[in-house]
Amino acid sequence: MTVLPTILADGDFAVATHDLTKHYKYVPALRKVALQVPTGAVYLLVGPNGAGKSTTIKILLDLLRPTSGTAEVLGLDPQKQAAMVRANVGYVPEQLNWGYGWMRVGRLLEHHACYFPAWDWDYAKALSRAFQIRPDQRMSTLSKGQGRRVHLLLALAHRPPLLILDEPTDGLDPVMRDDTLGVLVDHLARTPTTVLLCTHHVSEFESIADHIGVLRNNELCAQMPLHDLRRGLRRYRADVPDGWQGRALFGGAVLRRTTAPHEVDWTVWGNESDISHQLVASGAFLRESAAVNLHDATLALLNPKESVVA
Amino acid sequence: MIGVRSLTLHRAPRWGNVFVEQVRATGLIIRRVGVLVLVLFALLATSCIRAAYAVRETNRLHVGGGAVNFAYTPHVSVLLVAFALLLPVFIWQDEDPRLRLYHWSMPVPRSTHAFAKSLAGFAWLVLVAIVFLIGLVAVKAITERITDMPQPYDRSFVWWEWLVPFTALGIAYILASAAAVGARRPIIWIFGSIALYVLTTMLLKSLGYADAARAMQAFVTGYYGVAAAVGGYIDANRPSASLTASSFQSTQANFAPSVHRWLVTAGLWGSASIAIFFAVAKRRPSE
Repeated sequence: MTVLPTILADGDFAVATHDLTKHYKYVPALRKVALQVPTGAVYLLVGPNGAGKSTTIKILLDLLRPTSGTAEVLGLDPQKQAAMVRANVGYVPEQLNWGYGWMRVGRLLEHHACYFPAWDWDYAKALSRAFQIRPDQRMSTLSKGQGRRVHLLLALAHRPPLLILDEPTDGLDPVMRDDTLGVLVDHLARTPTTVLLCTHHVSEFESIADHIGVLRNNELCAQMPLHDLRRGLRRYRADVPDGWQGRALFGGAVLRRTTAPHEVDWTVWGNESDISHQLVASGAFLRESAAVNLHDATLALLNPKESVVA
Repeated sequence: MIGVRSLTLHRAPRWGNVFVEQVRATGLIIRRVGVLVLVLFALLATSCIRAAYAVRETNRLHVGGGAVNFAYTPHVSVLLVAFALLLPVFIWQDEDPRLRLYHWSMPVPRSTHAFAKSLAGFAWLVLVAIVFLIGLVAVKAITERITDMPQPYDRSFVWWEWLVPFTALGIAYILASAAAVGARRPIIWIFGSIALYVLTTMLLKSLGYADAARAMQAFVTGYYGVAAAVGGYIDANRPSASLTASSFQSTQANFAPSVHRWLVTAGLWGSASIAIFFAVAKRRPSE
């Protein structure tokens, strides 16, 4: 039976990790993660809280050291060339409590610009307007959404080759989310950038993402191009006769399974025609085979479960 | 798709640019404290000048009624050291180790960045010390003119003693910076360490462990003790200055200060402080 892919085909990777493992004392945070973010891709890294997404990002930026394994960012070793890695990454962290609350936004931009020789002031001003950022406000007085926009501006304005965005739309109202997404799309269109994006709001980024990685139980359980996911993960609805024995055929590949007495509703990973043939061959009457949207696909990958309807 | 090898990577910032920006940013952080210190300096100078007028008035009524002496002595380092111990707490106030993600995510190596920020604070501290010493010289000149009486320097005073406050500041500041960089509550570490030292020494003495108490005291008053580098105790037998209600009064010295002892002690304590600072700055508390 087909298993979920965790290795991408050989290529040029902006981010690659090898057996990345991290333990906090005795608690595992990451187990042998082999992340591969192709250069130029918009890679969605999804996972439930505590799955290890933020830990992975911090290791990539050398804010944390792994227990074992290695990482490579833009061809650089974060442990040996941390400053160069961070000079080439635009980072928006999940937690906005960064300190510097006493600084005004305008002064923070000046401060940040000193650290990034490639800082583009014209672009920063344009982003300020797009994000409706007021330079005279103190950082400590910003709302969560305003703080998030400031951090997005800081991440984008030096046009880094790699963007690492951890929950970039968290705290934004729906209008601002839409605007932010527009700014991001515009940025990607004008600047050659690789994006590693951690979010729970996957559907917001469905239109721009092209790869997905799924962290579950601190392991990378799937990693693939999104078109492979859309092609390979499908929802099958079928009528089944009394005493149907077909369920055993799809053991490892079925991610979601709802079974009523004479009906199955399964989300299954695998080749569509193979699965359809197997269902029919097992005596089921296939009523529907449909692609699932990214939200449902993520849900199925993150939380495989079985329910029985009486 | 673009290739990682075809990417032109951005360069990291120059260390000089980071340091200059840290000087500017640190100046903003401590500007209120700076104003407060200048006000305190002004109050101190005013009270010295008032004391000089009082002495002149007394001398007019009773000949030989009194004198003031505001001539510099290295003991004034104590005032600056107290400030040097507190300054890092203000500089890192908004960035305890849990809230330092922004600082750490900048494209500068972690310990180098902490050093740049601390060095920027030290630059401001040196400026404060220079202003203080110039103020002291000015107060001496003004009060000499008011009382029409000379205020001689200590008999054994030598020029390099003007530099003692700077080594004192340096050592106190670096140690306090290590506490501020590494601890969530640096005040407790800084003043708790001093209190612990004093209490332990007293306890050893009171329990009759005289040798152990002497060994503890050697850290401060021993030949290579921190007092020689920080406190202005250039020689063990040199009498100390005393601050009366209206003036500094220093007695004559009997022994010559030792530049060798000062340099060696300052070098030892300075190196140890820097080593502690970098050890703390390299730590990764979240791990």
